[in-house]
Amino acid sequence: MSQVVVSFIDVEKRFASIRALCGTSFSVLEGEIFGLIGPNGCGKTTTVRLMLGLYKPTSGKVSVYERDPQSHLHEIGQKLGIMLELPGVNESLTALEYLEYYGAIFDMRRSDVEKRSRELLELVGLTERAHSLLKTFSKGMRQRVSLARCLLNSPRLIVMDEPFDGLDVDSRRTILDVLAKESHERGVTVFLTSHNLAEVDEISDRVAIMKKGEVLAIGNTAELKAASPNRKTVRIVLARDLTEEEIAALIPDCTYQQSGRTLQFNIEASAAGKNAILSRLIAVGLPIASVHDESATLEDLYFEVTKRTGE
Amino acid sequence: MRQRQNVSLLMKKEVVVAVRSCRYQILLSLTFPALMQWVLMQKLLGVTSKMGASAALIPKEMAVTLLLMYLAPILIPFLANPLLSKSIIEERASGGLMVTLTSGINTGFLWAVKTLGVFIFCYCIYCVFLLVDVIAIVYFLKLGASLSWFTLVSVVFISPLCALSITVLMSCMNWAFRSAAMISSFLPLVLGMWLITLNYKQLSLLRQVSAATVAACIVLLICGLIVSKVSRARIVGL
Repeated sequence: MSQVVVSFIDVEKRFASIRALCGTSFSVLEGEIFGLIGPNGCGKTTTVRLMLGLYKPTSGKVSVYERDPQSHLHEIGQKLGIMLELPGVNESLTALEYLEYYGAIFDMRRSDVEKRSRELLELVGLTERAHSLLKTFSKGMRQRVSLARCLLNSPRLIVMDEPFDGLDVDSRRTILDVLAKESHERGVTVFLTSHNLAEVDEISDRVAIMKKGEVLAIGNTAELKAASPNRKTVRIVLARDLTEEEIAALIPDCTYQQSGRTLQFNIEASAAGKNAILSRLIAVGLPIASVHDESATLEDLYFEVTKRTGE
Repeated sequence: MRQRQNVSLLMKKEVVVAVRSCRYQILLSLTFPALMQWVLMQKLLGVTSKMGASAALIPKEMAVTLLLMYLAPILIPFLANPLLSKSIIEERASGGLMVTLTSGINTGFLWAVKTLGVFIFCYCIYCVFLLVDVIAIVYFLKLGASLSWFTLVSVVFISPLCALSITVLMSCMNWAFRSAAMISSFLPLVLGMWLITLNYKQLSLLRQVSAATVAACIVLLICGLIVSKVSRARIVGL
């Protein structure tokens, strides 16, 4: 059984009259990539700050590696890699100097730091800019340096708060690839918050959907999608052009969206749901050229869960 | 050994950042102490030379000692303030301080490294100024005989200790309070104005030095206590 790395038990966090978290409970298991998604202001960053020991919960219990992060940050910090929305780099240092500085913070040997820094700069594709000042770097490049810093001490737990914000496709891809590699090859646990659902969907083993400080749904990404109704889209391309009226006359009681020859049906996930609609179309004599299944995305799931809870 | 290497590396980083990012601030910060030094030289030594030894308000030896002793408490805090602001306030704004502090490092240790790194850099610049002053006193003013061992000990250890206490106080304010930059900037200015308007007639040098040393130690102790009590959340500005 996997060890619980991060645990939130009925955690509430208040800032004066504002309840940032209301009875939040979840756990992150060792080696998994856990995504926390939700709209702006839903409590993602508060969750991260509680995990990093920057805030004390108003009630409930937060533990990281079975320890209170507020009082045991020194022990936890050695196993931790952090990447926040702001890269937090010192613009007056070069990329290599910046990593060497954090090597000293982590009390690493200088020879080890230099070797590891060069490896990491290569990993994030910045070897040629190792001696350039960070003020000459773009946001994406700074975020990649930040990723290298995050991995410098070979962490067992990586905590990322909105790491993809404002990044180009290349930088996003670099971060996703590095995270996947760290997780699969070294068994590193990753806790990730984001409102970029596509990235979280691609990489996460489990997700929690949060809104107004509450966790609305939590679980394995595939299972959550499977348990959700109205989450599958079937696109049917017709063999010849038919007008809207012609199609409506053939299948008057079906709901679909038409775009040229393509009809898009939102149906239930089961095979029966798909078969039923296909049988119906064949029976009424619609000329079908091809059928395409599109699984529901995390975005579909997110909208559905938040809609189900009254929003 | 490794820890010691890392401390020197961390301090070096503070100096590198200071030199690279605050060149103009450094030059500007040196202007006021240099000006004050010039005014003090005119006021102290000018008075003694014009009026003659018998009519002088203070003896030449004391005038020279005061001139040199005022240098550190004026120059070092003036120079240290923009560098510390850069180090603490900007890192706080950029999120760098949050990253550093959540890496598990002791907050007091990080603060001490930042403050001492900047102080050592300022002390080196102070030594250059001091050397220029001594050369001026010995070769141009021909008052080399006025320099005593007491003066030497004072300018190398005691004055910098007072300067350190002011620097530490400014650093502590910036560390613990998000919007303390303005107040901490005024601190060396107020101190400088107070020093320049000292009443020479009632001056007892030895008594003042003793009081300053005690005060500096108390300030260092209080700042150390404050820093050890400040939470990470407050330091990073949450």
